[in-house]
Amino acid sequence: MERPTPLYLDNGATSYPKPDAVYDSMVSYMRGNGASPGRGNYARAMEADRLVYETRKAIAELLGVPRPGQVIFTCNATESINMALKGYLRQGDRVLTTGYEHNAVMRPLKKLEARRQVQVERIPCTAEGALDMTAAKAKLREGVRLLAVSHASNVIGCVTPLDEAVAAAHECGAAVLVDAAQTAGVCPIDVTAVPVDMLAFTGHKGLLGPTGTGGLYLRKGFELSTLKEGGTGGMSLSPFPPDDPPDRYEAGTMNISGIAGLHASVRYLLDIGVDAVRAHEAELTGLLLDGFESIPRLTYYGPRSAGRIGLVSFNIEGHDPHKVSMRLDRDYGIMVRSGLHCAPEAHRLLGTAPTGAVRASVGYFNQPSDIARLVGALGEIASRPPD
Amino acid sequence: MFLQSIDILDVDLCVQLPDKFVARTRASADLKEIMPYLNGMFRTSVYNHGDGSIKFTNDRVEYTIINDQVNIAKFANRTELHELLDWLRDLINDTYESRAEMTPLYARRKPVPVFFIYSLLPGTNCQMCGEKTCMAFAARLNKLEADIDACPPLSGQEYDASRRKLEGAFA
Ligand SMILES: Cc1ncc(COP(=O)(O)O)c(C=O)c1O
Ligand code: SF4
Repeated sequence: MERPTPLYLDNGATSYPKPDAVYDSMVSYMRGNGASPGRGNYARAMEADRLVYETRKAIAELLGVPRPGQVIFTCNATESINMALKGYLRQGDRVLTTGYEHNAVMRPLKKLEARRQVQVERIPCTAEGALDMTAAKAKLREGVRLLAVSHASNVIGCVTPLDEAVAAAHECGAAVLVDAAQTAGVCPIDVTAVPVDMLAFTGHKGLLGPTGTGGLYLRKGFELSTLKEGGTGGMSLSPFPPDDPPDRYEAGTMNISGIAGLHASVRYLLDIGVDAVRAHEAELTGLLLDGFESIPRLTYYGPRSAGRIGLVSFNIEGHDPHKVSMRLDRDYGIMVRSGLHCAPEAHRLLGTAPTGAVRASVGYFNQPSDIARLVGALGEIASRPPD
Repeated sequence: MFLQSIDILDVDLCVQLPDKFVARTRASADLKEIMPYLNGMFRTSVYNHGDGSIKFTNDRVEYTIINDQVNIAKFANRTELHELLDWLRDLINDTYESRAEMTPLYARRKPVPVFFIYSLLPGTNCQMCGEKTCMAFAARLNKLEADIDACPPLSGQEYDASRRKLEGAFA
C-alpha cells in the first residue's frame, strides 16, 4: 500500500514546519559567522552580539517587554520555569497554582516541597478549565508568595484569565509566574498591560523557532538567585555572577544557532501579526470541534468556545488512545500525540488518567483540508472495532 | 534618517568601577551639528564648540562624543550597551528632525558652587548615590560627573523644594 502524505498535527509538542527564513538564518549564522557573542572584541563577535540583541528586541516587541535586556535566554520553557521557581521560592513559602499545570511546573514544585518545605495549593477548577476565582482570592489572602499559572493548558486547551489572576495576586502581595509555553506566538501577550512578574516561554512551539531555545521575562527590578553559575564574558575576576540581567542568568555559551533561527521566526510573527495567527488557528479549531461533534462515540475535552487555543484532546469510546494515534499514523499518515502529555494533573481533572487521551494540535501552516482529513480518518476508526 | 547606526568598535572593563564596562563606538555620521542641541538638553553636559566635543551623563552612564566617535562608560553589560545605543541613535535622530524648534546652546555651563549644592542635598550621608558623603556627591555634581537623579532620597516629597532649586541651578 502506498504511504499517505504525512500530515503533522502535533504542534502543541513542537511546531512544524518552520518559516523558511528560520532554516536560512541558522545556516547563515553557522557558516558565515560562527563566533561567540558577549566575549571577543573582533568585528564578527560584535556581529554575533548584535544578532542576540536583535532577537531579544524582537521578542520584547512581541511580548510587550519594555527593554530587551529583560528577556533572558534559556534552552526551553522548562529551564525558564526552573529558574523562576528555584530562584524565587524560599523556605516554607506558599505557592498557588492550577490543577492543569504541566510537569515543567509540578516537578520543580515537588522538589521544592521536599527541599524547602514549600506548600503547594491549587485553585479549584472545572473539567473545562474554568478557575474558581473567588476561592483563588480567598487562598491568596491567606499569604501566598507566588501564583504560578500556565497561560493555557496543553491538554484542555483552556486559556487562563491572566488579567484577573494578576490583579488578585498583586492585591495580596503575591508575585506572578506565567508559563506561556503554549501561548507565546499564538495568543496576544503584553506583559506591560498585564503586569506579570515573570513569564516563561519556549522558542520551538508557537514562536516557530528551533528546539533548544526559550526564555524568561523578568519585570524590572525583580531579582532571582541564579540556577547556574559560570562564565558570562565580562567581570571575570569576580568569583560571583554579575548583578545585572540578562548576563546574571545566562552563564555559559548560548545556543546562538538556535537564537539565529528564533530571530527569523519572531520577525516572521511580527510581520504577519499574532492576531492573524490566532484568527487562523481559531478557525481551524472551530472546524476541529465541529468535526469531532459529528463523530459518534468521540468525546473531546475542554470548552466549546472561541477562547481556547489550537489543540483538542479526545477519546473514542472503547478505543485505547495510543492505538488510535498509531492507527492514524500507520494508515493515514497523520501525526498526533497520545498519552498524558506531561500533564497528569490535567488528565486527572478530565478523568482520563492514567491512559490519557489523543491530542490533535494545529499550527499556522495547517489548512482546513488538513482538519477534514483528520476528521474523516477518525470517523472511519470510530466506526470500526478497536485494534 | 540623519544617523543610520552606531557601531561598536570595542568593549573593555571600566577602570573606575570594577563591575562596569566602557565601549568605543562609531556613528555613521559626524555629530558636530547636533552637539549644541544635546548641550541644551543635559544638565551634566560639558560642550566644547571649538573641538567639536561633548560629554554628558544620563542615568549614571557617561557619554563622550568627538565628531563621529562615541565613547560610552559605566554600563552593566553588552545587552545594556545595545539598548543605550538604540536610545542614543533615536534621541539624535529625533533631535535632528526637531532642531528647527529647539534652541542650541553654544556656551559652556558655569559651574555651580559645591557648597550651594551641598546645602540643598539631604545631608544624611546615606551613600545610595555611591559616594561616601553628600559632600563628595556635591563635588561630583559640581564637576558634572554625576546627575542629581543619582541621589534617590532627593526625589522624596520633603526635598521637593531643594530638588527644584538644584534643577534650576543645573538647567
Ligand atoms: C504548558 C507547558 N508548559 C511547559 C512546557 C515545556 O516546554 P519545553 O519542553 O519547551 O521546555 C510545555 C510543552 O512541552 C507545555 O505545554
Ligand atoms: S544619596 Fe543623596 S542623601 Fe544619600 S549620601 Fe548621596 S547625596 Fe547624600
